[in-house]
Amino acid sequence: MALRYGFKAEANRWSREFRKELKVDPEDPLCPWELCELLGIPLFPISSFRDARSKEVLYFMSEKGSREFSAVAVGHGLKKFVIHNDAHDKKRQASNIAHEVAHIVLHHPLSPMMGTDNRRNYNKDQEDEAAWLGPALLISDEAALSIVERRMSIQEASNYYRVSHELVQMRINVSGARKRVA
Amino acid sequence: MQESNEMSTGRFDGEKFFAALDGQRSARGITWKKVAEQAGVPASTLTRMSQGRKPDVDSLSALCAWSGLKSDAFMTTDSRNNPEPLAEMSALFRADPNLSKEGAIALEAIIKTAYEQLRKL
Repeated sequence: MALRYGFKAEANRWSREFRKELKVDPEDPLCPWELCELLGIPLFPISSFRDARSKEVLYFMSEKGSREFSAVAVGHGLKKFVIHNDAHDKKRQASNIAHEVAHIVLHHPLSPMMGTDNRRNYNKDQEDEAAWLGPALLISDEAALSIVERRMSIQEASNYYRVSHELVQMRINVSGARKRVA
Repeated sequence: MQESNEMSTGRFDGEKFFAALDGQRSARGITWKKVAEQAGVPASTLTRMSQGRKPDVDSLSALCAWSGLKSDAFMTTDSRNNPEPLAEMSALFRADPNLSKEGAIALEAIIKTAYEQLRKL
């Protein structure tokens, strides 16, 4: 992943400053639902459309369908809202929401709806940025350091920060927390 | 100068202001994060503004100082919300590589419903 120069440091600053606005410490968990509220991003679980679109919603909440949809940011002009799949477990939901929030915070332009073939709308640089910033919001650099310093197990950190094991491990690795603590 | 009552019913056009800021940002070749930092506004401010939330007075002041823009230029006397053209919906799909054709059609239907519901708010 070749992120633009300065991006990782910027991601850390987003993470730190949002925590300050949400009145939590730099090493604390960050709630993506609260972050959406802070940023004025309306957030909808897909199940909320069950009345109007029962067939489609049930599809995405089924075992097969839930593998196809995590979250999407929809917009008109500048304003965006996010629909996410609440059939996923809460930790996965957090990651899905944080990813879309990252796109919005970075002001990535949206692609026209007409191309529902998401492969055509795929912008690698933007996806790489959101893939970095999303997890960095959930587990800040300070949080990764704290996990290592406090010798938390991956399971403990996963529960405390309300994110998946994979995300915890990834953030510990990329932040170089173990080397910094050693 | 003719006195007008119009300013008392004026509305700040956040979208227009944001677009003008974007012009400044582009011209200076910097990120939105840098804009917030240079202007000295909270990190959430610019995203909130792009989401239609009005900036507080201090943030607006700071952004005007940073950009050289004058907030007066963004007051509009148009009291109704801008009607939005129906055709302009856009979506950023999370790159779920597993989205099937059936899934894409279903997702589009849900998004259209969501959009229609939200436009009424």
